[in-house]
Amino acid sequence: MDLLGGFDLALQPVYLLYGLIGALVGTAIGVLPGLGKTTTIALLIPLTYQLGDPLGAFILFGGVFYGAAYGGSTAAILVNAPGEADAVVATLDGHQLVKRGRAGAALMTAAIGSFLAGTVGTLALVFLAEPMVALALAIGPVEFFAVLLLGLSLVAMLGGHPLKAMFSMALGLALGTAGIDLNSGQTRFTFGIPELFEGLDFVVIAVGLFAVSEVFVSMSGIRGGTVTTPAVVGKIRMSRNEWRHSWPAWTRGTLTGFVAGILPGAGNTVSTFLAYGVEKTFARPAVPFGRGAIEGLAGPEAANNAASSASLAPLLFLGIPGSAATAVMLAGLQGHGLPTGPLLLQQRPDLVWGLLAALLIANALLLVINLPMVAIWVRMLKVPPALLYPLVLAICVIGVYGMNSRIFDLWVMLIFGLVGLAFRISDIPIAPLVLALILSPMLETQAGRALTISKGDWGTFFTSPAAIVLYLLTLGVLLLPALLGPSRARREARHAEASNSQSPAPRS
Amino acid sequence: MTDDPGAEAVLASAERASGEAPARVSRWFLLVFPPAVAAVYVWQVYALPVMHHEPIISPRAWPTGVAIALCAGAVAVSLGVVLRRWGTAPGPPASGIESRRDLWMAIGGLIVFIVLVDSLGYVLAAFLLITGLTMLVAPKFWLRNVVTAAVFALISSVLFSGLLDVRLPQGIIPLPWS
Repeated sequence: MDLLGGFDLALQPVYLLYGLIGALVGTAIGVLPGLGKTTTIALLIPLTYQLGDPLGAFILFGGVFYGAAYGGSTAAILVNAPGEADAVVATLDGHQLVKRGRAGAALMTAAIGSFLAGTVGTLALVFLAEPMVALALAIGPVEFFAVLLLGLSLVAMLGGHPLKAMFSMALGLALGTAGIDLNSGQTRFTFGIPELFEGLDFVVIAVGLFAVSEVFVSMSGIRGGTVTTPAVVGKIRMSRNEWRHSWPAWTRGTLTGFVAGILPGAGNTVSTFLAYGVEKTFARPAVPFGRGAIEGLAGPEAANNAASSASLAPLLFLGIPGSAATAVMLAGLQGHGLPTGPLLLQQRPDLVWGLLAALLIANALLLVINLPMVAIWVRMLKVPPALLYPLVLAICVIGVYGMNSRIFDLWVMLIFGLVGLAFRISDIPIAPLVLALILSPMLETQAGRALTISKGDWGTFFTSPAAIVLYLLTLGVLLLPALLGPSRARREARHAEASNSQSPAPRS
Repeated sequence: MTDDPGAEAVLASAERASGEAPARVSRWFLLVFPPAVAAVYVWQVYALPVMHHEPIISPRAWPTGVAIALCAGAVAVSLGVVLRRWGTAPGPPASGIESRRDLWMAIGGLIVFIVLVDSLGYVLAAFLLITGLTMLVAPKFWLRNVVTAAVFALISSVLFSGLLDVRLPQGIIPLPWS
């Protein structure tokens, strides 16, 4: 059996229906912060046992897997509320595009970029699975540490004042050390609070820093009329210029995401930050990054979906889950009594090829669902701010509480909402904190593994040629802004001046 | 925006006035918060117990490196504010706080919600939160505010509690789906 045989299976009406349900549920879940695709897939597992059809179950999971990525980006773009780590980058330029009156274009470039990258990524998975798996197996803790370090260096690319960004990043690294140390089992920085033993939850902090602080700032400006319904400038759909700027970003993002996606654990999130860095280095945006550059959204969105496809390779061909969501999918497979690892393709090729075909179909379905939805989402922005922001706050509350059913999480969300508010007033960038919070435990774990394998020899970090290349790239990323800085600053200032003179006055 | 030049002037003066307070808050925040956070972190790293059989990577190793980075960042930011150098001193606030009253009411509303949600239950607490905040900024549309709050609280409760099996606080009103 091959991919065509897979299409024969996946195009049966019942499987199309499963794909559609999965895509819709995934999109809805993605829009709400907190619940996430991992929990949703876990919730659906018992339901699939009742269906008694493993392929149907897998197709349902695939739909949720891709749909949640679409939905998460939608919430990040429209209301600055990223529900998952992968959607944080979408807030940087995506939400700024909304404020510039280009909500429709932002949602379109995210949807089309995700579709293209997901399709190319899944097709590449079919043809490049073997070398990809070999590459994934060759990546040791030293190389992984080097990749994560490269991801961390991209903080310099995220914009804002460099010293403030450095402080924000260091604070994120510090917050990431709270909880039980995986190397020794000792608790750290928990202040005797049991809820902190598992560490600070990324979603709780991100919702507080981004969404709750946004609600606080906006609530203060509604009566005075400074916070108004964002105007739609021009057509809802993408302009010719936006298409022209999006194409190269989608292509670069797909490549970056696919390569980064095979990294277990960090693939999707790191890929979005890497793609943002790539765009900031190579793109010539019509608008400066951080102020609504469409490349700053198109590249990372494509990278996210390409990375999602790539992360399925170790799951399908080795039985090794690369992320929490794929780990739950693996548990679902095992629950259906299916073999995992290389035996899966040998014994149940119908399942593997059927799933890959179903993923391509689910991806197309998501585009078909989401493009008409753009107009509806944009219309949602016309809800008066006096209603919109209290509802966003209520959605944050229910999303955060729903994760662990703990009041404690709501207090943490409130505290980080206040920190986010102070950061906004003081012009300290928030994104470096969030990126560092995600990377900190990973960096420590990989460094620990590398040193354990080498029995404490620190020289191990410089024994791998691939790692050395990655260190040099990291150095390049750190030095590049200093080298390109003056000419880039002049160019961005010119663009800012031009775009400010063109931007419309807000409607009151 | 308005076409009346007089009103524009009043608005501009209000904006200037409202910008001064956040600038002051920002200055104090940049002076106090980074060193305070760094000091607490360093103290906590120092307070970590030494284990009898330290593993190859001690639980203090990574946090020590992080503490150095945090101290460097905190000192640079705060010193920049004191010396008015390196561009860290607060300029015009990045996010303007127009009405401090509304800001504090929004923060207070969330605090009251968190305190009461366990005893009142999600539906009632969410209804009160949304009604309170919408009435704060748009009191004229009281019927719209109340209806929206009630519909949202009920639908979100059915969706999360009834369909997604999320345990929401039930409180004083037992609901058939929770």
